[in-house]
Amino acid sequence: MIKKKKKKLKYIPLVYSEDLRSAYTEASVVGNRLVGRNVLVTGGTGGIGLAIAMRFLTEKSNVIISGRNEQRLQTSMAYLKERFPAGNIQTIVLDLCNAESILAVVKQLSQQETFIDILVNNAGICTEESRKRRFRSVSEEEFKNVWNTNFEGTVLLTNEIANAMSERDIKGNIVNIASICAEFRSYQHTPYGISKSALVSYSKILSEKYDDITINVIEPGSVATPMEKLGIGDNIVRNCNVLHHSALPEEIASLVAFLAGGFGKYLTDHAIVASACEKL
Amino acid sequence: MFNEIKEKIKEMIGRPQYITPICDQTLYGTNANSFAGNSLHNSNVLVVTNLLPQAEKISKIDIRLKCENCESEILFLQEEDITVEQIHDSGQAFTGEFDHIINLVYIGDENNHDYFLLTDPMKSVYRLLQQECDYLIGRIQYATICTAILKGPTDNISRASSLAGMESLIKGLGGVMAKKGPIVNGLSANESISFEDVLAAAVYLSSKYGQILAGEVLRMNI
Repeated sequence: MIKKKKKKLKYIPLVYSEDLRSAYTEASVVGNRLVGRNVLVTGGTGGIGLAIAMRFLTEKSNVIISGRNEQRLQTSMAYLKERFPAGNIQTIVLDLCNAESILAVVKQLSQQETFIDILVNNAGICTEESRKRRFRSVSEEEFKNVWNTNFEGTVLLTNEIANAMSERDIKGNIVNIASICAEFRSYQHTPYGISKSALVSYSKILSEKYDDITINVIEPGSVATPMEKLGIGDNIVRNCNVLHHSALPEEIASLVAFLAGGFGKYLTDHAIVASACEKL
Repeated sequence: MFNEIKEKIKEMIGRPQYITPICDQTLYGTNANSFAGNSLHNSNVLVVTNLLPQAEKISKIDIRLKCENCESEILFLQEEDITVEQIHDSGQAFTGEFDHIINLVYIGDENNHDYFLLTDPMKSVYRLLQQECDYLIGRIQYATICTAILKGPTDNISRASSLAGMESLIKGLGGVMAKKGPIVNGLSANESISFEDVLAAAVYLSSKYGQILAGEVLRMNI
């Protein structure tokens, strides 16, 4: 009884702030190996995507962020410009649910002679039905929306960019952001879990196809992003992993840079789980 | 209902146990040569290895850790085991205790003359991590242990299979030890991977950016 009394746990709050974001963004983690490389980050207007854009700007790469919403792209661009006044940043409207939009973006990049060295497939959606692990109530439209964004669209874009890299002999990197939902039975039946499992498998198959392109896949756990209903100013303490807080998007971003910075070539045969021992 | 009442009573009379989330909020200065975002700056790093002191690779370890601006010491495994006292004695020249421990353990046959051959590598790594956890727990609030297993060619099936046991050990400890302070993670690499890259990856895993990889073993292959 006395032991139980002592076990009342109280967590010291950890607020996700701009200062915390800076603490995980402002120093290089790859010894400046990414200077001048062209990076395309899908879903770059918020959450992990925005953090990845910041990480690559810290590493002095040229960054293109894509997103569906022009206004959100401009807001993100203004934020990045403010933080990295000397950074080379572009935006591009891209809807991964729409094949025409994907092909138009690829054409536009080619016409601009912007050759992508690093593609980060970060864009993804998770619906309320997936979050609640429902199966029978998932509508066809909802399934299509998640599947097309998280998998089909990503595959189409990746195939196009990988072919372009291959044609130009670019020893490029592709980093796919999946999720630990791909590994745990509790989520494996959801559209989100299915699409992320397929993405993990696709990464391995693609890796065997292209010798000169390094393809890695990361499986983050809970991350302080709008998908988890967390953002700047929120207390991110959670009893979800051994760190006792939702991962910072910047932690995942630094792992992306680490992989793209030369270490990914050794780690193509397995997904890298970045969840600090989280279990779902 | 019973649980709710229990929670209420606990709230009224229970002694709270405070838990601080593990997160390094320090803004470190820029260091263009760092693989740790300069977060090992001024920390005490112990490298435990079965490399022999005269091996060429020792200078590479020194160079890497110098680039990270940390205080470092190398403890050479010349027996199957180390003790807490040996770890403690290695850090006597430093202010404070070791914050980060990097194990560089070679498992392979006796053909590689750079290393002291561990006859039972699994047992040695197990004992090594036991002693290191004993050293860190209670002394340090936050610490890391990164174990890099360097695989050499071997015809010995048991030796080759023990790698899976080591990976399992690291993964398991990642979940258990963080509650007591040390973040445990690791990597395995074969001999074709440059030693500098192995060191850089070990440094990354030991840094604040490696916290999210607690319990993870990066299998580096080429």
